[in-house]
Amino acid sequence: MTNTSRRGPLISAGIFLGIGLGGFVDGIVFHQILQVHNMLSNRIPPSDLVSVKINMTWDGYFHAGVWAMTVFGLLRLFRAGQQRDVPWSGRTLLGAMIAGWGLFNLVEGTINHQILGLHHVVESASNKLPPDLAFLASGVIFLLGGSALIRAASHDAAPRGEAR
Amino acid sequence: MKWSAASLILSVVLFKNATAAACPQCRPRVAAGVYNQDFGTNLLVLLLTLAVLFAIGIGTYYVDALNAKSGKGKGNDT
Repeated sequence: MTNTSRRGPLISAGIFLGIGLGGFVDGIVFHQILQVHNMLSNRIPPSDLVSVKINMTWDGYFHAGVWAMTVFGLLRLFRAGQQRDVPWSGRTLLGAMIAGWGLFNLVEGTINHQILGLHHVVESASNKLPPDLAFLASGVIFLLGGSALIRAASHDAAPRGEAR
Repeated sequence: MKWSAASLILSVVLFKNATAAACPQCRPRVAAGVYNQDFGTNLLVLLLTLAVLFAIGIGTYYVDALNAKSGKGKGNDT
C-alpha cells in the first residue's frame, strides 16, 4: 500500500456500525429480554402499565436513533468501498466495530447513567453503582480491544475481494 | 444522514398519533405522558448521547490527517 492510503473512512464506517449495533444490543438485552431498565426509567419509574408504555415509547425513540446510526454506518461503508485509496481490511472493520460498541457503552454509561441519571443498568438494585461501573468497564475493554485490532491491521492492504 | 434525519422525523409524525394504539384504554394517558411539555427536553437528553457519539464517529474519519499531523503516520502506510 502506498503512503497515500487512508484508513479513516473504513474506521469511521465501523465505528458507526459498532455504535448502532451496540445500541441495539443494549435495547434488546437490557430493555427487552432482561427488562432491567428503560431509557427514562429513573425519571419515569415503570410502576404500572401506563408508565411502562411511556418508557416503551421513549425506548422507541432511542432505537430510532441507533437505527439511524447503523444506516449511516452502512452508507459510509459503501462509500469507503468505492474509494481505491482505502485499504479493504476485515480486521480494521471488525476492530472499528468493537471500538464503536465500546464507545457506545462508555459514552452512554457516562452521560445517561452517571451525569444525567436517566436510568441505571439494574434499576431495581439496592446499590446501582456496581452494574453501572461494570457497564463502563465493558466499554473500556471493547474500546481497547477494538483499537488493538485496528493497530494490528495497520499494514493490511489486501486487494478488493481478498480482504483479511 | 439527510435521509436518516428525514426518516426519524417521518417516524415521529407518523407514530405520534399511534401511541399505545394496541391499548385503547390506556392510549390517552400514555400519549399525555409522552407528548407533554417535557417532550422536547426528554428527546434532547435522549439524543444527547447519540449526538456525542456521532461527533466522535465523524472525527474518526479524519484519523489519517490527525496521525499525519502528529507524525504517527510518517513512515508507515496509514
